[in-house]
Amino acid sequence: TEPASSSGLSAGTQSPRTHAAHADPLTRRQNGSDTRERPRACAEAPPAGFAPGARLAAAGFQTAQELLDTGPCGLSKEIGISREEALEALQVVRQECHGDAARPAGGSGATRKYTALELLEEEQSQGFIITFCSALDNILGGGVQLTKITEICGAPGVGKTQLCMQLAVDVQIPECFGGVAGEAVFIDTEGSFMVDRVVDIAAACVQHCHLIAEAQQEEDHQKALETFSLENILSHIYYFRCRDYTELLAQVYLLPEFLSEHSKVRLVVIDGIAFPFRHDFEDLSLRTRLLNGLAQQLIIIANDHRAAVVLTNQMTTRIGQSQSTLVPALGESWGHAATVRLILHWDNSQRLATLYKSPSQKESTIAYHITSHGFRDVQPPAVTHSTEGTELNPRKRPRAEEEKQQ
Amino acid sequence: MGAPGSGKTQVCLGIAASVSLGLKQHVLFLDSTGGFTASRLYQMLQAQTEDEEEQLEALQRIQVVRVFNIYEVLSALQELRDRLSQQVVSSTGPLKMVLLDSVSAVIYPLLGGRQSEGLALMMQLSRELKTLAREFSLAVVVTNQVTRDSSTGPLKPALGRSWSFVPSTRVLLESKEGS
Repeated sequence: TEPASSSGLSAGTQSPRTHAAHADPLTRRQNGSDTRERPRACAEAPPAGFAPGARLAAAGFQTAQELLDTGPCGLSKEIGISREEALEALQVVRQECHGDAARPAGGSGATRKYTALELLEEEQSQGFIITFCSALDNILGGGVQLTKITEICGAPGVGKTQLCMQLAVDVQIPECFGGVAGEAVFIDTEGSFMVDRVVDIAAACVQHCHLIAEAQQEEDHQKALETFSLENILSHIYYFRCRDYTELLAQVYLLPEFLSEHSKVRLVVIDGIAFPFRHDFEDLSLRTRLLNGLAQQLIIIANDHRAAVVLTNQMTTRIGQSQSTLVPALGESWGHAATVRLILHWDNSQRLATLYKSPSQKESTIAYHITSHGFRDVQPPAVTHSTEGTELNPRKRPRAEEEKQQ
Repeated sequence: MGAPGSGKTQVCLGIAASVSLGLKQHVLFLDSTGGFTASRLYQMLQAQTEDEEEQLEALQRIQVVRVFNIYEVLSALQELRDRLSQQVVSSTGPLKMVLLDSVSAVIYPLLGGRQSEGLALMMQLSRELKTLAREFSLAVVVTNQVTRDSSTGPLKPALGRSWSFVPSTRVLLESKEGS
């Protein structure tokens, strides 16, 4: 074994033995060279005035992992110290281990502790998933945020699935164009995912990027464009179809495994989270519990894999004393699950999007259009070649496309 | 407690900001909903003081732990208790406040149905919080959700009667039309 460094607890030791053996996040390196340091760490334990270092070695403990596995009761019996002291010792060991456990592991399983300053730096370097509708991006604070759950509610036909498909394409935009260069997981419960439509949206996105590249003529733009093609985009959208709520729950609980294999996924879309839970559910308290468990699981996924989770919800009518209002479905308690809530609705024939709940942006409403190219602003920004904001029924395939192209 | 979007997380961030900046005390923020946005906190700090040094110091005094289920909350509180009882003067310094954003998010999945541990865990959590508050004179702030009995009933706090005896003070946030 190589000589232990004096700090002893550095993370990057070149141990000949691999440390990939355990999936257990509390596992330390099973590395002989560190054992001398571990008892020393215990001896440095503050005021308890208790130095079991020698005793630990005498009792035959070799690695920190054995200490942690034994537990306080076993430890107190082995070395002959009181249980409180054993607990303290284990805490110190655990803290030391946590201190040098690889931070890039994302703190999965271990306590995710940060100061606000570190989080601020992390947030400022994080990207957003843009929606190609600049007004919507503005009210969202830049786009759909990673590591947060965004809920999109709306009446039928207002454009929820369109927005989801747009996001599944936009998440793949390379970083030099302002995207996050990630892949997408699309979980469909309603069967409303149309591949032809995604082809249209993706083609428009690629064309848009080509225009930007031509206008700016930079080296890395050209390189990125080589991989950003239609086939590539479509092959990086992982599609799952869930027919009822058990399949949906199973899929979500199995998702962390899938995501650890496909670590580039930055977006998880669940199109229609209300659908499997709305019809045929007699036991409402069971539904609430399942939904809350689902929400927590999604938050864990969003946080650990730095992905954005986007859910679509339906609207239901609440009959008040004098009038009825449209409110998002699935009840009051579900409203707390999402961090950001966007409600899409109609005003005569204009589609509007209202931000109802956000931790950092204020409530506001904007108008948007759905064109044959996807989600767009009402007045297209002054970039040449952008499509006019004609309102086409998104379900109809565009016919007059070629005429509009210049 | 309050309906979604009524401002519970904002109030928590505001409290954390003012305690950290104004009173110069350490704050522990347990976030179980993923709603903690550091940039919003930074905005609040910038509104209160112009000095960048102070802002950065205030940010460092706020420690954030992301806890996504009840066991993580309990172990985080346990760890806090050990740390405080050992009186280790580490970088965290004198802790004066613990904020738990959304206790209902971690407890809701456990209550009801045939599971009997839910209630026990909830009471254990409340006991932990109370002992922490009493032994180390901390201020503990907890956010809760609201539910309705039926689709037309009035709003009432979540987690039922047993939890309603736990907090000493309850604040309901609601948004009224036209205010």
